[in-house]
Amino acid sequence: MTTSLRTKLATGTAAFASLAALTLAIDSTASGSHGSAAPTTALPASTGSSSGSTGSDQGSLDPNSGSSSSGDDRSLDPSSGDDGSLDPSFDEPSSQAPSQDQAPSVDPGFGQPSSGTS
Amino acid sequence: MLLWSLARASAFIAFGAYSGVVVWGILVAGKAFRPAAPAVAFHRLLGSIGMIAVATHVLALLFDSYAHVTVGSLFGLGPSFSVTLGAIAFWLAIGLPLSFRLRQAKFISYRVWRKIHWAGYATWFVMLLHGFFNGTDTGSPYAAGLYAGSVALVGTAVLWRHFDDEPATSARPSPARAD
Repeated sequence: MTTSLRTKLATGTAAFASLAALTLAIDSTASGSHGSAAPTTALPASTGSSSGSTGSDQGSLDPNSGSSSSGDDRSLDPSSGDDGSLDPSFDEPSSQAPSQDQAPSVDPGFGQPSSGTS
Repeated sequence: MLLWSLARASAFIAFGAYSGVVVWGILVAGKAFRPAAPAVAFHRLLGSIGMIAVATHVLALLFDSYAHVTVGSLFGLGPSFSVTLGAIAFWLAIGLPLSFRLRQAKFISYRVWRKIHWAGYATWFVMLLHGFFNGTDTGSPYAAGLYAGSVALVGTAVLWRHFDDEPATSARPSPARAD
């Protein structure tokens, strides 16, 4: 069971090039926000009592609720006591223009909390 | 920021590669390639690429200062069930090639390895669920395209394998009667 070296090189190069291109593309777009992933990866247990859908599993199984941040990193920091950033009623788009560091989620349907919570 | 983008991009590469692994494996098992050995090798090559992409995905998340993914997340201690699904897929993705090595070393029989290898379908499906429910880009058109395309490809391959097997074995005349 062998694969020719040319095939290995071509496939590996294609994969690496795809990874690099995709990384740069994501990084250069406004959708490269940290915000929309935090609920699924960094949910603090202490937020479970904040309100309604902002419990410990908030956003974890709902693709439409993945973003509750306007890109303000501290808004979803477990150490942050500012639970306003997790309030689902914050559906108004952020007044700030999306930028690479403070960008809205890729899903336009995601609620964007008001910024400046930090 | 770059680590976060790398984590997201590598997830797509990993899922694409594993979708290719599943489809290619089905084609190999369905005897679509003759000789089969180079095709099996390519199946394993795609698996290796997928494994590298998964490792990149996990490492990027571990080192990204914002994602807050910890080593414990790899052991089911993630903050949500969808993260745990990713951990399950991670260990399955490690176990499948490991089972191949065990078979090569004759620690397990071919029959046992075949049963373990069925977990490849589960691995791919758990990856799909993890990406769909946990992915940042789930709502984006390109993610939807990747998921839908992968489901269509794998589904088509499964159907092909299922419906191709039976007629091929029952309708083929023996060489003596063909003359």
